Amino acid sequence: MSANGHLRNCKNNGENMTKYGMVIDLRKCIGCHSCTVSCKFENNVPFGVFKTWVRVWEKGRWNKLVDTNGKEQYIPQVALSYLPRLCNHCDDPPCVEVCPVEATFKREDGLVLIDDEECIGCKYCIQACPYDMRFINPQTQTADKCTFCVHRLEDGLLPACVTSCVGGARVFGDLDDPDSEVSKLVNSEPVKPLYPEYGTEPNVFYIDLDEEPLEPEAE
Amino acid sequence: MVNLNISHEIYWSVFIIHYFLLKGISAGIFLIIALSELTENEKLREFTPLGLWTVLGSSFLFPLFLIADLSQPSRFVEILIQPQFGSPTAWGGYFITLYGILAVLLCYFYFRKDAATAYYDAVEKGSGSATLFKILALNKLDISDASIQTDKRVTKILFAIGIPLAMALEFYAAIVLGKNNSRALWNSPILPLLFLTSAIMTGAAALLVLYYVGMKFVVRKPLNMEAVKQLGIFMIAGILGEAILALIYFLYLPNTTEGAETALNTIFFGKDLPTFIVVDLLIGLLIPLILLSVKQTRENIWANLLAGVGILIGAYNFKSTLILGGQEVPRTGSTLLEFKPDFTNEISPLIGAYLGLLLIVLVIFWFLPWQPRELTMSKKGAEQA
Repeated sequence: MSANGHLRNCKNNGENMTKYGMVIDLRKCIGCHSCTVSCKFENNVPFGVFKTWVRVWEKGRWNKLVDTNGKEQYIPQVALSYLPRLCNHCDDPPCVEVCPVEATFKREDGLVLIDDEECIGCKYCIQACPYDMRFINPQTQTADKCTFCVHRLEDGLLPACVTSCVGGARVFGDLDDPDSEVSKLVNSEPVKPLYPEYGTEPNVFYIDLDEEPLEPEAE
Repeated sequence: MVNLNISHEIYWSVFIIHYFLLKGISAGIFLIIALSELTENEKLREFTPLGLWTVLGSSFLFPLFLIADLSQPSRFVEILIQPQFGSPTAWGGYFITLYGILAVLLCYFYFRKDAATAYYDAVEKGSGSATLFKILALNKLDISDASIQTDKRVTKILFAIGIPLAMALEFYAAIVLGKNNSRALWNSPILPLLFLTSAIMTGAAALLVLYYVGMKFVVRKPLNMEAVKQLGIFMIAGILGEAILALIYFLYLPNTTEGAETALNTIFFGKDLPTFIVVDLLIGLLIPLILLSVKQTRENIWANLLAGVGILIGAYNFKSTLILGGQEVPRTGSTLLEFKPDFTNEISPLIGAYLGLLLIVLVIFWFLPWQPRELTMSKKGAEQA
């Protein structure tokens, strides 16, 4: 057992088991990137890599207008959309299945974590994650990703990205507790996960998800 | 639609491509020499000593490529100590280790008689190398008929065990790729068979090139063209198998996963189309097939060599396109990822590794008199045997 062995056991073992999850209400996301910045600070994420980020895309078209003099004008009708990205802490995580040394593991509370003292850096988990959420940490030279700020959860705090979200778009909590805000949103809103077709059963859900930019394409 | 996204890296690159290629060549050579020994094909047996040395050398080199690719190379042994058998990489760790052990055992039982003979030669000449040969024979210096027959029996058993192991080396690697169902180009059930045929094809090609170099510059004996023609049959079979399986791969891949058609059109039929047609299809398959099939060329050693080198180049390019291209297709963005070779950390160690292998081969050939066994038997050794 490595020095990080304690990470494998969740503190809230027992009858009131939790299953952590997150809902991101894209109607409230304003693309301020404060989640990205706070995550960087909270987790000492090195330069060039991210545990969470916000993907931005611009959609729209040029509308043709003809004024009273018959002159043609083209008016842009475009909008920016945002998609905050982070580890989905899947129920059936492919990254855990392919790790040859069990350095990546899923806890009973749903968190998918990495023991950086066990990881050999084979990068198989990076290949297996359909969400592109893993990277090699340049400092530890091991695989790394979002942990839902496990160190904060153990102190009874919310993940840094949730507390810093100015629009209150990120809601975090126990998906098994029907009274939690996150459960209520999952049960009342038309939430969608990313890439359900891979069968990973993600625990991050989106409200008002525009799936068109997620379709495979290459410019 | 305009996208802004963070850039992702291509994590499996030069070392992994060369690992796949060298492992395939090694497994292919093993399968060819094992089949020739088990079926007692006298023409093909010409290649067994050379093939065994190549299998031994490569079985030490290709795991090094894999270890070099780890971000924590010093922890590689963890795969054997605390494996998670749900991961094909863990199976690979054991297959590679068993393959290396098998190669050592095979070399020992196959060459023990030669080491013992060389020991007697050295003793007769009063040479100091006698001790070295005694150690290499593990002090088993018996060259009686019974002892040689025992060695042969053990060798056959080891070859028989090695056949499924060599095949497993190819299959596991294809499964490693295929388990990533979000990598559209890798997610094909035909990949294990494609890797196996590629291994046989490249194994035969590499064996031919090594045989030519060995006979021409080291042993300095005329080539056995009948044996070369037998290798040509393996190459033709490999080319035809590869062509049929590749066709199935390209026809059925678009139906397998989301985005597979886009991935194919982006990589094989998109940005890499010119190299795919010229290097993979023409140089790697079509030209070798013609050279090895037409009567006028198949009996010409230069035409055979040209076919062999073409096959190796084509196979390298296919594996490179498959592994890099599989990662270049974006999963969460819309821009192709760009592969930038790292000369300091990847290319130069790779060149160093191949030069190291060459050095080991030269040492074996120049300092140990272990060419094909009939050449090494001294008069006294032959009499005793």
